[in-house]
Amino acid sequence: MTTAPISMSHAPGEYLHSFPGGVKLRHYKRMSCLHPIARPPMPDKLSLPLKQHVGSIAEPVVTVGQTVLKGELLAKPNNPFGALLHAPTSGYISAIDQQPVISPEHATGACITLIPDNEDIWHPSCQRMIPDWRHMPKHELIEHIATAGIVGLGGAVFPTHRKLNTDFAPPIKTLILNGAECEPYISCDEMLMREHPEEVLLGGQILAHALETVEHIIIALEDQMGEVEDDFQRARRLIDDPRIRICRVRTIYPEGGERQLIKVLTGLEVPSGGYPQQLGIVCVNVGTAWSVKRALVDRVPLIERVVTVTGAVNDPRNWLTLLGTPVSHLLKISGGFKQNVSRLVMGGPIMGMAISDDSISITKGFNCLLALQTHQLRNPQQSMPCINCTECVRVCPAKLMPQMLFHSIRTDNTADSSNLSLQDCIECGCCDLVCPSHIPLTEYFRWGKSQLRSRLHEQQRATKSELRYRARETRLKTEQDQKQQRRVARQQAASDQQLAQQNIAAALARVRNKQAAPEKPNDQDSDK
Amino acid sequence: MKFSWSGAPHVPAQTSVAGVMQQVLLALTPGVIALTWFFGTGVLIQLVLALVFAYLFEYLMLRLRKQPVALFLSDYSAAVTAVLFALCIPPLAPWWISLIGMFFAMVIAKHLYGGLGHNRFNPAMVGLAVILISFPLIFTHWSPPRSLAETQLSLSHVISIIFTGNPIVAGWDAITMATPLDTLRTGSARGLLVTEVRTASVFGDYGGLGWEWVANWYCLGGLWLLYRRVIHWRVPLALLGTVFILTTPLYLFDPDANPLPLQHIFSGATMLAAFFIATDPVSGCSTPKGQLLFGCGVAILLLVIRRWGAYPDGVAFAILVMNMFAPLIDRYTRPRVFGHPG
Repeated sequence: MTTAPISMSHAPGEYLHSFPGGVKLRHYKRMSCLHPIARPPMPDKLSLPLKQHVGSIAEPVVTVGQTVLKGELLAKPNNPFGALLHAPTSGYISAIDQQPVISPEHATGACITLIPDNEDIWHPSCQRMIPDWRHMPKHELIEHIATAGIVGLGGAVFPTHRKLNTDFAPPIKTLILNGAECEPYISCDEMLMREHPEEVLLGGQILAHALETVEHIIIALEDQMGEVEDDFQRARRLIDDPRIRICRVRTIYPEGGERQLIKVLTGLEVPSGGYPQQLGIVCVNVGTAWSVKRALVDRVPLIERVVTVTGAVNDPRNWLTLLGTPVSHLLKISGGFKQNVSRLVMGGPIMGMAISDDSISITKGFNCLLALQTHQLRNPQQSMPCINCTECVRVCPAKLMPQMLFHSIRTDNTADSSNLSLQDCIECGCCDLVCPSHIPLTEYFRWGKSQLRSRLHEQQRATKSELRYRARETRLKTEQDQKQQRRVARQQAASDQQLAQQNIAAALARVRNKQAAPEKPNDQDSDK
Repeated sequence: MKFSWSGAPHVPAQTSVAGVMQQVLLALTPGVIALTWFFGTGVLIQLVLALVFAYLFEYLMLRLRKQPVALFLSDYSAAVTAVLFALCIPPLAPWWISLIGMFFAMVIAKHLYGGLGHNRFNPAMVGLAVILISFPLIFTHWSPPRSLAETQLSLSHVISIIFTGNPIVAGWDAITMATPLDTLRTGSARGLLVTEVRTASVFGDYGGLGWEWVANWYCLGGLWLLYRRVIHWRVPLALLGTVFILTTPLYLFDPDANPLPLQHIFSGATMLAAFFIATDPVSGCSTPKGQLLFGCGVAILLLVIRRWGAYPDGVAFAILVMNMFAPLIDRYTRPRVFGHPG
């Protein structure tokens, strides 16, 4: 239960702990695992959003009308949290403009539109021989990963090279490759692990090499992924690295969450507001590890990813999809919709984001395209008052009190929300899934968190203005004082001068008197 | 093509308030049947009366408060309140007892505090407490258990007693009897030893004759609710455990002055309270530690009232007092948040 790494009596993954809360869900994964991963036919155009990573948008380095080759750099970030973007195929840039992108506000975002020439010619920078990663120093390896534009493919899209830059953390002893894909329907990681287990392990080895001090490489699988473990055992025998351990964790949502998985494998809790690096742990998605292998061994930047197309489509399956492929193209080749599909989701049914327009395209964080029928959806209008049944408390993996948070947010009591640790909510949606009153709790929490953030921002601004006001007051006062001092000094000087003049005058007078006076004694003398 | 938009999660919860309440009603069924078996058809009449009045007041209040009537009438919460109330009043109580009880339960305790989910106090217990305080004599008119009844009352007799308040066949003494807890109370007051009191025919193996079987069936229903995860184990375990732990040393120390621990558990409304009343989520505690404290608190108050109070059973008062403390307990027993220092 303690968070001190010293208390770790077992090697990570040797003994499986449990995390609080969680919900058992039906998987719905089988349906999309029936066919091997395939490449879809080339779409007519690729639309590549300039923001496919956590930071602000990247800046294009190509111009409209320019011809590009496969793997050529298209855009580079202007801040440390961004990632490079490469051309998924050869063709020409037809536009750089605003296109619909995935966002909570149905907004548009800057996108590069690439019309494929169907030649698929590689850029000379790709697929060339590079030195073996085993002999590469850390910084060079990280540089290569950054140049390949790799971000977390589990959905967080945090740049991987930033994760590996652990200069300020304790030595990283444990690397976790997260294959616990806990949300229903999504099977892209499972299929990837089934088809490329040694490549995933190799990616893990490369990452471990980049982290330098890694002693344990743990592959976390779900216990329902039976065959995958056999594949990994075989791959491990081939690779023969004693650091690798294959762990099967319970299939319980949200076990695949980074904090939950770390708790299960090591018994440690990532501190609130902190990072796994603080515990000497780095956790990456298996897809990310695969991309790292492709970048360092095959010398291919991140230009494609496995996407599960599933739900109410006629032919659910996994596609190795080029970034920028329109969602509508994937749907078409997956057999089209079944009846009454009214929602498209990027990701799973619980944490996924709804897509309002099927013209948007696949990005680096796009793991699953899920079509849901009307009868499967929740009805947002139908909610009853909270009856305090505490089912949400039982399932909350962050050990929050969701029903109390709900009241604090409804009454706009940000102080209370913050006391109840609203900022620790991971928005996993477990509380929604068990709420008998059908309250959209996670929606409330997202809103409450944004309120907290804006409140914090406001407070910071207020503090800043107060400081500025205080500084100004002090400055004015100092000026005033100085002015006063100068005035006093001047007066002093003036009076001094006056005094001096008086003194001089007096002295002169005395001198004059003196000059006049000696005659007197003389007179007296003369009188004698 | 355009698609509908909404925040995650996209799939609905599999439970509903009505579903939860239905489970509670289902779990109460064995107890209701047992109570009817031992204490006559009056139990069912009281049940019907309470249900009718509960829904009447619920409907009126929903209309007055301009709430969606159909949505709230179909949530079964009024039914749970009515059934819990009806199970706690004597089977031959006059009809207006339910009227008054349900008025205070539904109108005052529930709707005037904001309706479903907002009541600070358990509505059924508010109704019961009002009746207990205002008409304490009613509770001495309890039907004897089946095997001890001198006169078997027909349904028409029961109905006429309830509606006219007049025991036609014989005097009240012939058709009613003191409850085991009442017998114990008056016996102790007369200076009798518990063992002497327990020789009275109203006592069974542990608790009251008939009562202990009803308690068994309540317990069965409660276990079903635990199994279906409608209630959590903490409140019932803390309540029953505290009753047992507190009464055992007393009994071992002086069995003449203190009743068997099991008698406390198997008589009166202890079992009903443990599984169905103290577990009411709205008016109870919501933190894990708080639920344990709540159960303990109810148990202690229950024993105190039984031993020293003016009433033979104190479930209603014990629950209401703990309801007062629930928000405070919740405030100071919040669990440690994941990733926060201990």
